[in-house]
Parts: sequence; C-alpha cells; structure tokens
Amino acid sequence: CATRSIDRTRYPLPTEVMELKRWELDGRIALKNGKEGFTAGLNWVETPESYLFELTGPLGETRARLNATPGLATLELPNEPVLSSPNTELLLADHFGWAVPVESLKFWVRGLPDANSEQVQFDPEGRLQTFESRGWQVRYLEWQQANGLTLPKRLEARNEQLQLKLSLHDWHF
Amino acid sequence: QSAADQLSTLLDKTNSYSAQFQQIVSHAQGQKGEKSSGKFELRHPGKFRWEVNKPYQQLLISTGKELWIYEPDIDSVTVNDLEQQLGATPALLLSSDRQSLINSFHINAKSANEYVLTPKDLGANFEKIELRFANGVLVELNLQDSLGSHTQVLFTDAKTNIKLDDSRFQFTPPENADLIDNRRHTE
Repeated sequence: CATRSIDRTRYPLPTEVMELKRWELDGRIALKNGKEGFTAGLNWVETPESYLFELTGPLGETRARLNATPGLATLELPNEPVLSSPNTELLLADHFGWAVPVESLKFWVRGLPDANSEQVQFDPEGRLQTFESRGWQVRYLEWQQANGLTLPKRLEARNEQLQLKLSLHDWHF
Repeated sequence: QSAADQLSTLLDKTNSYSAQFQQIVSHAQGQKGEKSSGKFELRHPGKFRWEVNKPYQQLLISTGKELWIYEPDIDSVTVNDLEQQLGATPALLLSSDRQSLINSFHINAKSANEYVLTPKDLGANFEKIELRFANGVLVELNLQDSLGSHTQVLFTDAKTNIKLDDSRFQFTPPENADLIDNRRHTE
C-alpha cells in the first residue's frame, strides 16, 4: 500500500518541497536492530513513475537495489535472482531481512510527515522536528540548504525493532 | 612467470603504501555517479586504513584481524571479523600474501602493469577487479560488481615502504558512537 502524502492544509509544510516530482539524493544510512546492523551508502532516485532505492558498500558495490513502480517492486541482491512483489516493504523485509519503511521514507527524507504521521512538532524556525508514524518515532537533527530549498541533512527513525540513522550529503533536483 | 607470480612480486615489493585517492562510482541505471576522496594506507600483512573525507566522513581500518568502520555523520561504529575471502574486502588484497591471492582469485596479466582478478568465491562482492601499476607502484583500481556498478579508484602522490605507525591501523571507538558489533565471538 503506497503511503499517501500528507494532507497539505493540516501543517505548515514547504510547498516547493512537497511538489518536487523528480529528485535524487546521496547519503549514508545506518540500520541497527539490537547490537547487529550495518552502515551503507544510500542512493535514492525519485521520478513521478518510479523510485530507486539503492544501498552500497564502501567501494560502491551494490548491496541491494530496489526499483519500485506503482503496483510492482523488484529487488536485486548480489549473486541472487531478481525478486519482485507488489509490496515493496515486504520484499525488503523478506529477502533483505530489514523492514525498511521505504514508502514512508520517501516523505521523511524530504522533511515531510506522511499521511499516518501524528504528534507532529516543529522547531522554532518552523522546520519539522519530530512525529510518530505507525510505530516509528522520527526525529530531525540537522537541516541544509540545497538549490534554495531547506531539506534534511541528518534524521533518525526508530521503532521497537529497528533504528535508522541517515545523513544526506547530496541533493539533486 | 605466471601472472600470479608477477603480481605477487609487485605487491611484495611494497611493504607499506600510502596515497590520496579519488573514487568514482557509476551505476547500471545511469544515475549520476558518486565521487568521494580521501587517503589510503596499507601495511603487510593484512592492515589497511581507508579514510573518506569528502563528501562524507568515513574511516575503515583493518587491523589484520578485524574491520572497523567509523561514520561520524551517522554516529556509528561497526566492527566485523575480517572476512578471509579477499573478494569481500578488495582493499585487503593489496596487503595479502601470494598464497591467499591465488586461493581467492584467477589472475591474468593484461600487460606487465595491468592485472585482472576474478574471484573464485562466487559470493564475492565484485565480479572483476583490475589493478594498474606505474613504475611498480599502484595507481588505479577498477571494480565491477555483479549488479552493473563500476568503481574507479585513482591513487595520487603514492609513497611506498615508508614508516607507518601501528596506531594508524588500530581503532578505539569514541564514547558516544553507537556500536554495531557483528563479530561472531566477542571477547
């Protein structure tokens, strides 16, 4: 189920960011459950028809590549056959072993709550600070300017089982 | 002399090595590539330090036994047992002995300065690794992964057989960093 975007009127959100149709980001991501986990390079390419979510190792080697279009996602893992499913999050959880909330992350990485977000709080400068969404607690630690837009630089998302930390060092749109 | 012998002689001549590097990763699906740069140091046997300082901060240290990865931007420290198959940690192959090279790779020489390594272990991260030397010193590394990504690493102002202190290949995690401990049996 693709997560619908947030109801615009409910919160003072930056419209230009919400209206971004095509964007690409490069960053670092740490995924942890208990003591186990790993860090990876994150490359995300979003277009109106699809998005690409890719995790890479220290020398750029692909560790997981998720391609999602409405209704079908494919997952490529090194030395394994391509897998596909209508549900992107299930595909990642079942085959990559990590229930990464990619459908919601699509909004979180741009500093936007998703349609299930509650207890949404803003910081003194009017930027999103924290919210809760389907058991995830999301927190924004640092912001940056990219081509005139204010976008997140560092954020964290945590639920009972998993902890994600993201640092986004390159935005293109 | 076999390609493996030639490559081993080249690598054996370098007991320690240090250089600046520029890494460019290009992807199968034409996303724009990522550039990063930093410093690489290695010392036989099995020790290396891979320090990225642009556009993000990352420090990889192989102590010869363990691989530490420190990423201050996401305040994480990861430690893994050093995987012995060299296909998993290509930087390690540059500081490994002749026998482990032969055990891990099919080695062909394109020329006296260019060597192509294909991992024998099918689960390796890379399908092909190319090394290029100039005057006996490593200047370029090219890596092809199994999903169409290509990484080029160019080394500049390389120095060989210089004194590199033990501390360069040791790591103590900072207090606040979040430790991810993937070692099989921790002390």
